[in-house]
Amino acid sequence: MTELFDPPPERDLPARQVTRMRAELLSTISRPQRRSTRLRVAVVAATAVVAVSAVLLVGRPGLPGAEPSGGFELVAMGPTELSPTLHRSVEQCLDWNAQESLHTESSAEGGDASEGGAPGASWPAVTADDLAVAAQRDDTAALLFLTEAGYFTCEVFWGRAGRAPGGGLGGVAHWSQRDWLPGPVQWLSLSSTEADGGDVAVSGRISARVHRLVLEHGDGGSTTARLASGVFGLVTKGAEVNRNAELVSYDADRNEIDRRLLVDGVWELEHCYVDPSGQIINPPMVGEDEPHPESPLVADCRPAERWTR
Amino acid sequence: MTTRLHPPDQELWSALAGGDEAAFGQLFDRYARAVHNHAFRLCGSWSVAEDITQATFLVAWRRRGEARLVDGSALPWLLVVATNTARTEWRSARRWRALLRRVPQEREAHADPADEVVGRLDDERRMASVLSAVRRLPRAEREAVALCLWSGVPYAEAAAVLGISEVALRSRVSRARARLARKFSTDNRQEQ
Repeated sequence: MTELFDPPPERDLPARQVTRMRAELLSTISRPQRRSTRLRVAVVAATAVVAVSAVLLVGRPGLPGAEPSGGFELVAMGPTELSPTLHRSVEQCLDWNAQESLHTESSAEGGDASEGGAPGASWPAVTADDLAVAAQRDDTAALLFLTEAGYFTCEVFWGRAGRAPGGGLGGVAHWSQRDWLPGPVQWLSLSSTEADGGDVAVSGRISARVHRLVLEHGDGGSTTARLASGVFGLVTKGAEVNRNAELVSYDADRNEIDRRLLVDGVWELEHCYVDPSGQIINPPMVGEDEPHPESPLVADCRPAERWTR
Repeated sequence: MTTRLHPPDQELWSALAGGDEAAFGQLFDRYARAVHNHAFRLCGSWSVAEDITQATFLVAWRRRGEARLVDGSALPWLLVVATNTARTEWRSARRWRALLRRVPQEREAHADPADEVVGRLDDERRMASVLSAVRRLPRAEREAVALCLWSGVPYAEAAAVLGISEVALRSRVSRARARLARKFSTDNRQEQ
């Protein structure tokens, strides 16, 4: 490789840094195994890059069922809205889903299904009928499947014709919080063109009182999501979505009912949420330097919202 | 020349799978440097690389029953986990940071030597420049470059962990080289 593109030489980790990192890790894994609800909800995931043949995407802009040869964005809310390109991405995801042998009870705890991108994640087996949202920008598709018990997310990177696509798979096979939402909205799949944002494709769930959902990019722009049957999907175009980006929910009277940072996702919500039975479905975010409380007080939590399709 | 590690990774990982925290510590000692440098080359920031490194080892602990060791080495799997973690860093770093139990730092007593600090800043500037070019590559090619060229993971081992053929991986790297060479050539012409 040209020297210009060679990275700097490797460095040693300073001994005291190694000691601290090691101590933090050991302290973390040694703590009593009170499995946090937060950890039971896998977000996006992980990677099972699989080699297959790619397909040339062709079509004309603006026509149902066809795509332009240049840049385009598509959002389909379910299997009945699929264009040929999205259909192809769905087939690819179903193929990867079927190839994975880990539809096992290993995730019966709901838990470590796809934390942070480990190879070998587990998720539910899905069919095309389970497709909730399919979003695609150019050669990258992000799909969300919802089953009776869990969910499955899939990203496909098609690349150029004749080249093997890559992808990322994730999900939870048995999802204890399936019937409840931490407030009006919850994203489950988030992909981005850059490590720190750029254009994003987001999909997830909404409660019945959400009639409009807007992503404010944080760069002055915004994108309105498509909503259908308790789910949403959106794809930005030419945006610089950043860490200040917020998902803003509106009710039928156009009143703003919720505003939350996109990057907080389902893992790190500012508040805890509790269902009517008093079950906390999402504990609150814990700051870097704050102690980890054993259990948040139910009285401090906001009401969870029921999710139905 | 081959190097045999003692205890071998396979043995360490077996102990790890049984919940042996000492084995986890040994694995960290063995590969933290490699993972940290790999993470830096993906994100261009030493501090973010530290987060990614810790996240990688936390994932290793949580997924200890499922890791795929290639030719008895845990390193390719760890580097792929680090790659995936770096990819989602902007949305996941906070959750990992929140997860970690922080240990008080003794900043005053062990300040970094000035030349070390300067060296690291230089690294970050240099890496930012490299990444600005490499980011134009398709993600799969970018990650193949980081894994095989920068971190020196053998093609066969990287391909096995990625779940693709060695030919496909070599092809990605080859395409990346060609693109970068073209870019270098174009940039040079523009400068002249």
